[in-house]
Amino acid sequence: MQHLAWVRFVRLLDHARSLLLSLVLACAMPSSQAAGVDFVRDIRPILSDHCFACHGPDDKARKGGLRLDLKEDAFKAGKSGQTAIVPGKPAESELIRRVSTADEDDLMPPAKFKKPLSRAQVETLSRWVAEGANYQVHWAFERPLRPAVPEFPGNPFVKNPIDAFVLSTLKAAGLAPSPEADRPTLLRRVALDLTGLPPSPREVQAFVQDKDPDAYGRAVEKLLKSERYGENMVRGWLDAARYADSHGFHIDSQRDIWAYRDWVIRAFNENKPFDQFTIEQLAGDLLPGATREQKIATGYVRCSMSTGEGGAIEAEYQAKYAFDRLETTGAIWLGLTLTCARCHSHKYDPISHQEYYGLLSFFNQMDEPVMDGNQPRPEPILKLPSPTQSRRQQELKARLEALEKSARAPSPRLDDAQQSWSEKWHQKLSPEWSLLTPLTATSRPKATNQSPSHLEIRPDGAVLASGPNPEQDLHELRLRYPGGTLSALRLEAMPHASLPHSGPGRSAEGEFKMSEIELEWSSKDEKSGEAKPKSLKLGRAFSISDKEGADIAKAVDGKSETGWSVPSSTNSTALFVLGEPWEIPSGSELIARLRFEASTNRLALGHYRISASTSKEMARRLIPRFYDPWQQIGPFPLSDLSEAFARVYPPEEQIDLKAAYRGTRGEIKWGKRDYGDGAYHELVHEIHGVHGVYYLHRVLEQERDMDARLVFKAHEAYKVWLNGELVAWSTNRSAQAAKRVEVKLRRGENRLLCKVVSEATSSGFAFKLEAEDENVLPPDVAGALALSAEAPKAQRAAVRDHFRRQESLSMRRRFREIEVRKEEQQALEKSIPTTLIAKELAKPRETFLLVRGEYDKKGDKIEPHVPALLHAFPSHSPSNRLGLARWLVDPANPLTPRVTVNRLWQQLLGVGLVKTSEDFGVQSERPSHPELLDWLAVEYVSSGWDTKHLLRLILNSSTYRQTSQASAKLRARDPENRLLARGPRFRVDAEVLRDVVLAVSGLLVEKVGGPPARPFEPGGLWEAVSFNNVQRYVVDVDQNQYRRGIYTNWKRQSPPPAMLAFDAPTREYCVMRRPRTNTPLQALAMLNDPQYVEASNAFAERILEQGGANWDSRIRYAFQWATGRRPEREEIMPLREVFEGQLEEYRRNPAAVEALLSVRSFRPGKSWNRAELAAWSSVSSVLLNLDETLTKN
Amino acid sequence: MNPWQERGLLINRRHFFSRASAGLGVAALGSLLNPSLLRGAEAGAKSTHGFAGAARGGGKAKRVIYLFMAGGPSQMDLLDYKPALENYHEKELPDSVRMGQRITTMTSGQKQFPVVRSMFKFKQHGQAGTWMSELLPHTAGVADDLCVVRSLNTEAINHDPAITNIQTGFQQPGRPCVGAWLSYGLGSANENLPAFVVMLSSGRESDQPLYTRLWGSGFLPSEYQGVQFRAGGDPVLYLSNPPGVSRESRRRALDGLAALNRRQFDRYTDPEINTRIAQYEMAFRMQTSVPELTDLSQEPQSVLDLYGPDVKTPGTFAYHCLLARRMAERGVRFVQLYHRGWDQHGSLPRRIREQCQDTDQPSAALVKDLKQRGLLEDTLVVWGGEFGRTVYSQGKIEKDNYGRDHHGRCFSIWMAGGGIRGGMVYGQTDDYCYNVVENPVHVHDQNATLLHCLGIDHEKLTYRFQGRDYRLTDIHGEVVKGILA
Repeated sequence: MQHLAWVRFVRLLDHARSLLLSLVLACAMPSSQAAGVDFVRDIRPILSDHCFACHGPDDKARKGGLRLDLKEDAFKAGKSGQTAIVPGKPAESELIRRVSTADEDDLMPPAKFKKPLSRAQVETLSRWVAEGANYQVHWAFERPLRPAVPEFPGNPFVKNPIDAFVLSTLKAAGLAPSPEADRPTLLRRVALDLTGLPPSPREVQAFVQDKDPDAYGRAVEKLLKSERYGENMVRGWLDAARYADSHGFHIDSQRDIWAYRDWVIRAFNENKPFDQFTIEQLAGDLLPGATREQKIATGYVRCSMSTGEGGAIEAEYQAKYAFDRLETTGAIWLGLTLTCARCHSHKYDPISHQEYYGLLSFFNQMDEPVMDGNQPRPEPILKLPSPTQSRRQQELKARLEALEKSARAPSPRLDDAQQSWSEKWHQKLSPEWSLLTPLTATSRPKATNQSPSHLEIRPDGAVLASGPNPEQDLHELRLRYPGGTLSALRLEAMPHASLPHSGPGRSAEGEFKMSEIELEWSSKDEKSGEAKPKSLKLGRAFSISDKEGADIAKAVDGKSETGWSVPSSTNSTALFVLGEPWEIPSGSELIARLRFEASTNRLALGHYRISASTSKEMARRLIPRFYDPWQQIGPFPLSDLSEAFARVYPPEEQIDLKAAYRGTRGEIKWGKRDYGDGAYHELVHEIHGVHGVYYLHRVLEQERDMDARLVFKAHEAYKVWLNGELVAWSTNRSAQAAKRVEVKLRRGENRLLCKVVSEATSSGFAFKLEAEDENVLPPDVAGALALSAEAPKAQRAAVRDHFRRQESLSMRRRFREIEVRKEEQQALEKSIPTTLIAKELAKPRETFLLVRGEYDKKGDKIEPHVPALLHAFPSHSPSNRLGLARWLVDPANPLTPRVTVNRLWQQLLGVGLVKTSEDFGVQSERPSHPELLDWLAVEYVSSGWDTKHLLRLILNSSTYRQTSQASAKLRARDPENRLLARGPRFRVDAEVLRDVVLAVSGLLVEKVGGPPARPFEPGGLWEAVSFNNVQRYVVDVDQNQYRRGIYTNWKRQSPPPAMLAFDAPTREYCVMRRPRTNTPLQALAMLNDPQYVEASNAFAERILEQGGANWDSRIRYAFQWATGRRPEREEIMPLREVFEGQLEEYRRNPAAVEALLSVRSFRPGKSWNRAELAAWSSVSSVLLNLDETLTKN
Repeated sequence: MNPWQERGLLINRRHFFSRASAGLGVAALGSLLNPSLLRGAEAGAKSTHGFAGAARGGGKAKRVIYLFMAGGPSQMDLLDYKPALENYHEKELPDSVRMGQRITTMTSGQKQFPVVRSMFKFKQHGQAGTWMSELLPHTAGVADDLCVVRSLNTEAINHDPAITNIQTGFQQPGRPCVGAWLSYGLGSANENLPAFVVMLSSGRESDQPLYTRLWGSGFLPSEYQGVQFRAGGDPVLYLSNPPGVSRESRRRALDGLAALNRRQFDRYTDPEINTRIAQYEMAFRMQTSVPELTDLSQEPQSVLDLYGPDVKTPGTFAYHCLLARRMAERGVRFVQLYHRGWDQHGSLPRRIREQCQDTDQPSAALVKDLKQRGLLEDTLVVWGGEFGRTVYSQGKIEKDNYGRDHHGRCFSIWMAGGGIRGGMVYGQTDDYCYNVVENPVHVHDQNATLLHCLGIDHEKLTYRFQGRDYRLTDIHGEVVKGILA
């Protein structure tokens, strides 16, 4: 009684729970154990909690050289000459003196530690020393031995050893087990536990009527064989493995790793032995001849969060990822809290700082980019084509090879014809070059302390360099422009006898490397007279010859570290075509800058000449079909893709380039854009972009009517109008291929308008016009032939292809097919799913102890090793993840089997035999049934880590099958049911809850595996937290929205809100045990979440359709679906009242009926009485909200 | 006296206990109201850590409103006046000042680190003569109510770890945030509203993401996580009845539900069933109390004017500041506002002006409004971000333009009310605004002080997880005595 009063007194303290339990358990233990002080039960918790921080395993933190966790140390005289513990003699033991002294300076633990001992604790310690100070190794670190099973001959409760252990504890506590639960309850319980779905009324009926004594056993077997089993078991595993569909840190963008989730489902369904299950996830990639499946399994290692944050330091995150991978693995398999030892030796468990890094080294070898780039598929990844996709890949490859062979095979006839055709074109394109004689030529070395070269302007207009040759030079030429339409610039690099090796360049070998060429036009402002420079964009470049890896494009790529070179002493000419032609009045000046800054090897050009094409005719030929640039406006606000697709925004009514409109973010106006034809242009960036509706407008000016093909591609939905006529559209979000539409362009202006709707992902568009017109050359071909009839090497294929396209209709068909097939090939490659996998560095990374766990404070180099406390690393195993995995499932491991069976027990019974299922260390809670735990652990290993076998044992036990109804007295005695005098009863997990509702209502769509589903969630949640508010959750409109919760897309920084409300973890880190809260937000979600309202509507229709003809049979049917059992008469009454009341209200208010029945997309059949249906929907909602429905009874 | 306050006073701990001992109906209050306390009382089995020992009492503050300026406001352009920078302008930051400290990879590639002075003018304000930038004219008006802390510091240099650090006491995800700790420790003073509310305002720029973990409960039970009040749709998720369901109809359904659940309790005697019945009732009451809270129609024009022109636009910072005051009146323990857009790597002058236009007046209005209602005494208001910004420019310094990178070694915040001394400046930085030279305040110290103001010993508010007693301040934190009233 005194004890109980005390318990009540400290009930707000944490210890209350464990103390009560230990008291209860102490009473329950056979009397021999209850007598005397027990080290494990009574003493270590005190020492661990109050003393080990300074007198424990951490040698850095140790005070006074005293260590109390090891008997040898505690029993020997310390530095002070005193002995902490003298067995049998508390009066001589310094420990006892220091914890009981009145001297505040001497008192232990020190006051500032804020963990004083209670009087009872001091007395316990004293009794322990008096009784001989018996030490024991922490139970969890000793290998479990199969304990003898208590015998209860003829006791009907004992169906298997589990019951014997449980009964033994119950008897000691003076309690008796509860009777078996009734059949409907039992079937619903086991169905929820194994499959996460409730049985149908028919299944319950069949089970109730099955008189076979093994009916229950057979029901268990049937459920174990169901594919739903894996879908249910995966949930807890994914919590622990912290699986999610997003990267987690910072931008938290999507990642593709769902194939790993599906692997886990398959592994459970195949009942993969747990040791194999372990090895494949931790190290499947390192298995000899690793299969595709084994590689997918290593997604476990890649489930950790990653970042792409700008500014992040790679080394810091590399360390963070490794910490997380180790600590997660430590928790899942070993039940150890390794995190403590990241910064210093563990305060409680014997794991040293060094040993932590010994373990870390196994995870320090990942071959992966640290920064994920915010991309969904950061390497290393595995492509997972389906058989159909593989076949199509093969077919496309073969078809393309055949096509290209026939289109590109050498043909003397065609090649001869091409030669004369090319020459004809070269003639047309090569005249009319005006030599631009420099007014001045100045050398500006990059290093200001180097002398400039001497640039001489020669009579032929060429520039010749001599004198000093700076490391990096820049030649700036002022050129007089004769006037006219400037469309291209020509640069002749000319060898000269005065240059080394008579080359065109100034290097010792006569070479040059031009890193960049820039062109500027300076026009005088008429008012101010000031010269305003305007840089002219050089769009494309061609050259007759260039050096491998230093082609001419490098001279206009904007990068100073790359450049154009030609083989030494070669004469070469380069052509630079402007992005658009410029009308430049005569007398204007051009400035050309030739930069030689790619290296410091003095690679300037020594002798060269510049000309320009100045005629309109040339401009027309070189920049053929040049149209006005695009005008763009957007984004206009949208509510969703289909609404925006249909809605007529102002530009569809009238294009007024001066107008301004209200956009998604403030005012928007039309603006000119330089979008080149044929290329893909991003309109909305995945992270920075603003979603909405964009319009692109352009005028195509034609000299005459012509047929053309418009090629258009955009994401996510689009419409294209030509001269007011809708010519192309798409709402297929995932469409990859471009649309090709035959159009007629008329003489004069043609107005093109494109609408691109961007709702959630990155968006962009590509446009080009194809016209088969023998008078017009594509830009590349024109440029190439302007340079030489033979065409520069780089463009030769393009020229030949173009010629052959022109040559015959059959050739043209072949080329068109090549284009289409290539697009298909690209689309196919993109659509092939991938998954993140683990890969080991080819050259191992050294691991160092990190001082205080800081990535930039390296200590000693550490070799891979495992803690000395545990079993030895198998000598034949490699020192990598594979070795580690084998070590984890070594039968000698005392922890893995205990931790694993405990987690399974927790899943079924609600609380683990060790309640702290994530911690089996010294600070863990003592098991409620230590022998049972050990028996199960040994049984698990000796069964070959057979998970289904273990589940079968538990599920078939009388312990599990007890009713969960209990007297108030029993509940008060054992509120958490740790003694197991009754069956388990608790609210089901978030996902199960949703699955139950969907199943009962008939909405559930069962399909195993695949990319994440996006069921309904309220709008705006992703936007509210995401960078620039751009991430947007788009609800699936197809059957995917009704799939099981385990497939719901999991974004770590905005997980599905209804799931979070019901205690689902965010999946940022390993969680081994979910809390089970009971809050008003849960009530709001269950009553008002549109998904559940929709489900009530669907359930209502199901009741009317299948529940028989009268109200009574219907309510019985409905009640049975929700709870598994038939309602009692007293339970029908309140439901009848709800029904009658609602019916009356709905009859009066048909608008309310329609409003309720139109929530979300489910639409009941038209033949029902609408008010009645609505009333049933309300009753359905009550049934779905019953405590009994939300609970596993 | 305000009826809400009155109510808050009634529902104190003793009251809980007396109701608890009355037996059933205890669970009725459930989770949103310090459930740990109730549960502990209920059966002696569901007890909790921390609470009993942590509340040393005597805290002046009963609640906190935290105006979180996400992105890292530039301290030398707002609150930390550095006249000496005039002399160092455009000169290289000396190595003797930087001392090789790590910097983000956004500027670590820069070849030069030219110091850039603030282009904004500073003046002294209030009787205490607190220096403030011209960007904060309204805040300057309440200078004598504020304690400006210039010496806050953190180890983190990028947003994700830094904001996680200051809000949860640890750079890696997994720990409860300060609001969760408070609602775990103190519970709510209003049985119809959550103890911990979060509001995210949509500024002109929202260029750094936020994270659910910032208002998450970590290893604490999930009932302590912040409840997000939203600008669009239901202020609290799923608050409204579905279309076609009237309040009467809902009442009828809940009565039926309760009747069946009571029968279930008779059969199973599981107290969770009674808790559930009570939670459904509380949900029903929240359907009235939340709309009442967000209904601004009874606010006088003078009050609306105080908060500025945006106050009536849901989702703005001004709107949220006014809601925060209304929540404070109703006993919400912890109101956390987030306002983004302070990450000014470039175009700082333009962007900081815009940010201040949106936040200065409402922040100051909140202090004034609380004060005029006598609420400032027991409401702690905090204004600040996750780190500060560098004195050197990121990118080129132009006549009217510069940028600043992240800087964790010193940054400025202000606190007001709830036990904090007004009209003072605490802590000093060097002439470069690069290092703290006097009275450093680490983010752990800030959190320790915040708990202290609420009457909680930060070393005693603990929760055992994985065998260890965790706390908000980890193993660190000192109460900053120098700023206490």
